[in-house]
Amino acid sequence: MSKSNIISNPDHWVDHYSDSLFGFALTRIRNREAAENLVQETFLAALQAKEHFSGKSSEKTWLIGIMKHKIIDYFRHKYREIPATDLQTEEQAINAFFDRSEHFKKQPTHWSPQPREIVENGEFWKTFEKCLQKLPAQTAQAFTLREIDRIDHKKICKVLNISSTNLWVMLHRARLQLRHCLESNWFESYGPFLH
Amino acid sequence: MKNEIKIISCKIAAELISKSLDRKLSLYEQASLESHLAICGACVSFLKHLNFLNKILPQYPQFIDNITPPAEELLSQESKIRIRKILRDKDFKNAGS
Repeated sequence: MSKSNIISNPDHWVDHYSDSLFGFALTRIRNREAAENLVQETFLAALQAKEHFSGKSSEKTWLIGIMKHKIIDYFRHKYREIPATDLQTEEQAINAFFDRSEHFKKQPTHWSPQPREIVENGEFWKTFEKCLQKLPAQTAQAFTLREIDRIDHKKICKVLNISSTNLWVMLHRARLQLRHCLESNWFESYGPFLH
Repeated sequence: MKNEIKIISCKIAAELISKSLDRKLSLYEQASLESHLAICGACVSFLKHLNFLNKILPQYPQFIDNITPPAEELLSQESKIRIRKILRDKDFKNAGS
């Protein structure tokens, strides 16, 4: 059914897509209740828009497209009145990767797998998600919007209500930490988390 | 500017590497970074890793279908029932209008 280019009965959506959509939202917004609401909102918006479904993509891809908009709206609303992340904390986290003479405390090593070997590897992505979870929520959100969803810097600053300096510090911290986490938990053993 | 290329630390080099993913580096920044990379294997690896991740991350799968998520990442049965009912009511209303 998910392959067909016609809309299935909305009654089946919950069975087919709700867990996937929920997981998609949960990874990004990290709040169960809000993620659940977004699943519901996505289905309701899809119900309204089902006449406009072109059939060019699968039903699943179409639903994810709707959910991406809902997630952006959620961030915009959530961060409208919340002060920006503490820059100092982010800078401390960055400093922690370097010693007093500003060398890497733990030097980056050689990664043997090739990108194409990694992309298809579900266990790698699970490890990536675990590493992402270890970042503060807003830092992970900024990173996801930029590096996965490829949203431009200006829009991310607007949606998360942060300055461009702040965004840059968050992205740098996220890159340092994720690189380190993936190296320790995946590339050094080329395998999944052992715990 | 006729200032000489300053010797930069790994911490500064890492910042420039990260910046290079977001914007084009200035000629001065580029020269400082390159002179650092010429003598520092750790930062060469760091550069490769960030480029590696930058390249694969847009392919982050929207759904990881071949792995069953842990129970806490699934929508609860009660929620499914509730959402199904809301959808039915709404769909019925739409059909009736």
